[in-house]
Amino acid sequence: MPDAESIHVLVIFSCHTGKVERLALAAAVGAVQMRAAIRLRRIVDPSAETNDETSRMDRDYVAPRPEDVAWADVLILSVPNGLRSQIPAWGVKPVVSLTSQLSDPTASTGLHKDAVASDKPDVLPSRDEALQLGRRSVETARAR
Amino acid sequence: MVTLRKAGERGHANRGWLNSNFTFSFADYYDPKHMGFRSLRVINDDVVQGGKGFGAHAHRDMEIISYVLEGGLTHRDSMGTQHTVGPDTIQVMSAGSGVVHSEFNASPTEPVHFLQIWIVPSKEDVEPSYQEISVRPEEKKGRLRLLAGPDRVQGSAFLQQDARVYASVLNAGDRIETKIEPGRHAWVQVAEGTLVLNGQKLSTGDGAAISDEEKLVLEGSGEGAELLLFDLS
Repeated sequence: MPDAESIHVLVIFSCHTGKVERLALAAAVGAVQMRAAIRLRRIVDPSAETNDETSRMDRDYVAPRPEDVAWADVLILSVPNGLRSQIPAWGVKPVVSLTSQLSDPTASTGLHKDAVASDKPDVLPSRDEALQLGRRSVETARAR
Repeated sequence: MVTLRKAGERGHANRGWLNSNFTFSFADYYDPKHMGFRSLRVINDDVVQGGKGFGAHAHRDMEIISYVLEGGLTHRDSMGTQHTVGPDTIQVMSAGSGVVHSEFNASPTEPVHFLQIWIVPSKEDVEPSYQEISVRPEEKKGRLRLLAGPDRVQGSAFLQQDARVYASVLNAGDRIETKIEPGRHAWVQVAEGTLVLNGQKLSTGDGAAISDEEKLVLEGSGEGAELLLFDLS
C-alpha cells in the first residue's frame, strides 16, 4: 500500500466560466487534506467564448502533459467527452469524475472499472461534494 | 552569537520569468546546513517578471507571509480569496489542512519584487485562513512594526506559532535596541540597503541568525535599510 504522503493526484478540468474551476480546486483541496500531492491542469475548449475568466485561466493553468499523467496515481476529471482526446492516455489508472459526463465509462475513454462518477448526472456537485470526491480519490489510489 | 548568512551564499535560480534567491533549502536548492532556523523554514527573495507568476499549487500546514518590496502581487485561492498586495500590505496565508492558490504579478509589464516567508505552525490541520494587513510607511521608520504573531495585538496578523515578525526601515543614524528574552532566538533579514547588527555590517539579501544574545542593536548606515526581524522560540 503506497504511503499516503506519496499519492499523486492529477486534476484535469475544462471551464470557461469559473464554476467548474472552483469545483476542481475543491477536489484538489480534498486530496491535499489527505496529504496527497496535486497538479491542476486545464483543457481549453476552442469553441468557448473568451472572457475575463478564460483569459485568467489561460494564465493560471497549463494543459495536461504526458509527464503529468505518468506522475499521477489517480486522475480527477471534469472534461466533456468531446475534449477528452486532449488528455494524454492514462491507461488503467483510476479515474474519479467530478461531473457525470461519462456517456460510456468503459469504452474508448479507457476509464478504469473503479471510476467513480458523481451521483447526480449532468448536475454539478456542490463544493463539499467535490471536496469529498477529492478525498475519495486518494483512498481509491491507496487501495490499489 | 550572531551567524551571518551572506546574500551571495544563498541558493539561486533564474528561470527568466522568475529570479529567486533562497536563504534556506527550497525546491531544487538543497543544502542540509541551511534547512531553516527554528520555526522559520523559508525566506525566498523573488523577482517575477510582468504578467508572470506561480500557477495554482497546494500548501499544507504552513504559515506563508508575502512581503512586497516593489510592485503588486495578486493572490487567488481555493477559499475564494482574491487580493492584490503591494508594499504597504502584508499577506499572511495559513495553509492549515490544505489550500490551493496562485500568485501572479499584478502588472503585465513591470516586475514585482517580494519576500516569501514560510513559518512552520505549532499545530497541524487548522482551518485555512487568509489575512491582509495595511502598514503605512511611517509605521516602519526607525522602529519595529509588528506584522504578525500569536498575540493579536497592534493590528498584526495572527500566526499559528510562537513567532513574531517585525519590519523596519532605518535611515543612516537610526538606532533600534531591542531585548531578546531568555531562551528566544532571532533572525534578521535585510530586504534592501545596509545596516549594522550588533557591530556587524549587513547588506541587501544578507541574513543573520541570533542565539544566546541578550539584545539586538540595529543601526542604519549608508543609504539606510529595510529589514525584517523574526523573534522565534
